[in-house]
Amino acid sequence: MIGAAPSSPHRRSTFEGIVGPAVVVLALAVVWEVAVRVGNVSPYILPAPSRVAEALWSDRTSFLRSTLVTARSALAGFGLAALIGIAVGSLLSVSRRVERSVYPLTLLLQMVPLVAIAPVLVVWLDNGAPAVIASSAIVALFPVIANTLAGLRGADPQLEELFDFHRASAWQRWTRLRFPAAIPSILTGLRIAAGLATIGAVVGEFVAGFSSDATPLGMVITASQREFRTDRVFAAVLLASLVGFVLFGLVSLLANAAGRRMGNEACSASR
Amino acid sequence: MSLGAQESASASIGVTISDVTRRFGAVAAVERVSLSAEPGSFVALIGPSGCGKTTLLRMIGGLDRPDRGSIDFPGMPGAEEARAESSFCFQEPRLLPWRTALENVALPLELARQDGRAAALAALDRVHLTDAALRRPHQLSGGMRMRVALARTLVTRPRLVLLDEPFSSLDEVTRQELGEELHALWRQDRFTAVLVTHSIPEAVYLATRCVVLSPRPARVLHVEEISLPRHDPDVRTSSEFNEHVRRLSAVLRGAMRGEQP
Repeated sequence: MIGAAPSSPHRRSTFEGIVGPAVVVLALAVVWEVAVRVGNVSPYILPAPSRVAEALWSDRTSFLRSTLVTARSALAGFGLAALIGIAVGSLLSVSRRVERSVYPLTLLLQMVPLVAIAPVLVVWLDNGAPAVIASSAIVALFPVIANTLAGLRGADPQLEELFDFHRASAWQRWTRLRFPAAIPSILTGLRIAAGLATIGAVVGEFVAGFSSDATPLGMVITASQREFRTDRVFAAVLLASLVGFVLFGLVSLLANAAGRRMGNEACSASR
Repeated sequence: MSLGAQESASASIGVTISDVTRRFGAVAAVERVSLSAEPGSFVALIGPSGCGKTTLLRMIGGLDRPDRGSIDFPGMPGAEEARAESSFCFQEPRLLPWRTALENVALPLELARQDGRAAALAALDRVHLTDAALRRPHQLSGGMRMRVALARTLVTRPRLVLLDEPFSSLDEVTRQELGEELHALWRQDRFTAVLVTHSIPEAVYLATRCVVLSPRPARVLHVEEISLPRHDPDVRTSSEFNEHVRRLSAVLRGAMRGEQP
């Protein structure tokens, strides 16, 4: 699953990290290809990988543009979720009372079925990118809030005491202790959010997608399904996953850089 | 007390503890303790682990409050002013892992809104860590981390230094080495020092006064003035030194068996 953090050890070689999974994926594709051919499965039920690849290739410019549209929405939704999530998590960390009052509301965000509120987003924001971005951000928001809050609350009590002794102001404590201490946890939240933002964008496109110059992947999926083009559905799903992976990879790069900067591996290790 | 202490006594802050009691729920940690640390003196609080000596130190530092009794800093306008000029060295180094040694040492000055870089470099130099200034805590050994903590404790030029078993997690060699460094720093700066320890030789070596506390709740059992030559590491093997250690050990052993001295 895209949303899960990998438990990869920090200094594993790129060779191992790429070759291993590639072999597994390739083997799976071969088994799939053979099974479809031998079993004579209808391409409507399950298209062979070669057929999906063909669909992808024959319409490559259009698919590329679709992917870019969806990636843009997912990235915007992710960025919005990151900004709002870190801000809300920080506000909630200020007092227990505020946390207890507001936290259930943020939990509601997590519980509300996106497909159910997407039409409302269309009512408010009309069809198109803003509604899709909102949908993406709503889905991705909660893990950022929760992990920011947990990180800010989780600073070492012994270090808190050091700051007590030196009568640090609330601002000094936040900037010099709590926020830096929360970075590994915030990055974990962002990694989960990267996958969710992509899912949110695609689901948003199912409902609120709007094609002007290029059709977003969510709309490609629904349209292809109506045309019984399961190979195109698979191709679009593949590209949507790719968007999620790239976003996830960007956050992981950031986490590794932060890990080096912080002088420990807490950032890149999964929680 | 040695001559140097009296010379610069006005620069350091003394502590007077009067009849202090601290309870945690039904458990008394400290009971009716009275003792004092004269300006410029080095007082060691000795007691079995968990006896409440750390609680006593934390109350001096304002990290905890007595339920009864008072803690005063003679000559200071108030406790707040005295604590602003004091420093606390914890049992653990308590360094910020994302900061270099230098940045960690500068923290107290930074929190006091002063530029700490030059002072932090000087403090690191005093604990012989100039070369490690730009390393982060995870790149330092346990002894080096404690040295950074010691530099951070002294960077503000405190007039009262509270030390809570700062060397207890170190190996014997490093522990003695750091003890000697601390002693040299005290001789130079002449701050008042209050050290919590469970090592009697360490207490006798460092302190001008040793206070033996009873097992929980902490009460003062015995006070012993130490006047040994102050800049000689070989003092540890002298008969006078061993006599102090022997006497204090006997008091402590008696206390742990529940006898009154």
